[in-house]
Amino acid sequence: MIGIYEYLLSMFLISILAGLIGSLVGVGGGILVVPALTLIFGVPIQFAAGASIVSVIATSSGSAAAYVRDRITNLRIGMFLEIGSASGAIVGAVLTFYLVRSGFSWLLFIAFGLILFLSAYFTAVRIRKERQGETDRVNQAQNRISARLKLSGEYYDKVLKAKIPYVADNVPAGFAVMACAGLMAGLLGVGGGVLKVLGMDGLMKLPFKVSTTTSNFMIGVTAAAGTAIFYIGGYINPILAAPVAIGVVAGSFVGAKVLVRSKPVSLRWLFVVALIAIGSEMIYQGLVL
Amino acid sequence: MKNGNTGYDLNSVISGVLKYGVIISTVLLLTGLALVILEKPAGLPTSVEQLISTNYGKPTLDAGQLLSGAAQGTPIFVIQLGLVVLLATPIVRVLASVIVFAVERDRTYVAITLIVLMILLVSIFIVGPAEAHAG
Repeated sequence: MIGIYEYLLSMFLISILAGLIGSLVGVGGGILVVPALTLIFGVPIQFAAGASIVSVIATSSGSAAAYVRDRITNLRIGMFLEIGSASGAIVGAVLTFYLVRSGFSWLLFIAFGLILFLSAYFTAVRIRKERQGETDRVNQAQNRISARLKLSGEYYDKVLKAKIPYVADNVPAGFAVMACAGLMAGLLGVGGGVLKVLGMDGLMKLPFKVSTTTSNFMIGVTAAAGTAIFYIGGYINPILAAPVAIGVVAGSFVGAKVLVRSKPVSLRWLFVVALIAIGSEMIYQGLVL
Repeated sequence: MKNGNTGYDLNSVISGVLKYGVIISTVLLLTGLALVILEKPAGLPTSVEQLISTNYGKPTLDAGQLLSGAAQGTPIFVIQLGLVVLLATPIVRVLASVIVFAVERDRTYVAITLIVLMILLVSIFIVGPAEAHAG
């Protein structure tokens, strides 16, 4: 039995830590918050996802405000792809309600475990990418869809001290990946940023920095589509969600302000290991449930 | 993307909406949580298990009840209002984008942002209530 005040205090502290680590490593806090709620506090996974997705909106909106002002985010690419990610989130949320109703919530644990593995892989890729700096593999050739929808832009790279023009490539495939990322967000209460960045950077061949900030920008709307359904459907408990939202916002704010320049590589490798461990535990829980 | 005629700037409008939305909702959530801890409202569950099994404080869908409850400083309604403001933030951002693109006479993006807005409204007014009804 965990008392309500113990919960409020300890989950607040855990959420600060999740927000801090998330902003340091470049993943959302949700990926740590959901396992904490289910594994430590025994919260049913749909309520954990509901509490987490609220904090996802908060962190995305908070940090997007800064990036949008800096003009790194590509608003048009983001808004176009939101059609896919927000639709995906609705399908994901509906699927969660269906699985819970029909007694298959253990499947959500397994899915979450797999997402943690994907995040581990992504973090490893990212460590390597940021060492290389921006490269020649950014697409600059115009194509029909990008020309029609103005899916191009340029941004000033502080490291290279140059303006880098770019054009979105493979738009239909990228759009499909965003729909999958939205599905994941609506299903599990995370931002789905990992998949969004993999799609924009890998498939659409956008600069990495543009991919991460645009992904972050889209997460707010993606999560909102899922959150509305969770909220109205009754899976967002205010007492459960409030300390998570405040904590994650506080943690990621501190992380972004104080630690923005440091890229602690060893800490991130440690994080890769931690993600694999937590992912395994989530899958195990799903199997014994 | 600065518009010479109107002075509207998409980036700063969006940045402002996001910033103030998060600030207002965080203040409401903090206030509500502080009130819960200080006032110890009657019926507040003592454990996490009890909180889940009763779903204490389950969000009301009655806007009048929410607003009057929050105005009276009822802790649980203050938290719920904070959650609603947070949820509304990206939606207002999309709405603001529709307006700015309209001012810029960018028809393609007025259409695209309207589709995004429609998807969000479908989730609120159609899918959400359907799931609430299904239980």
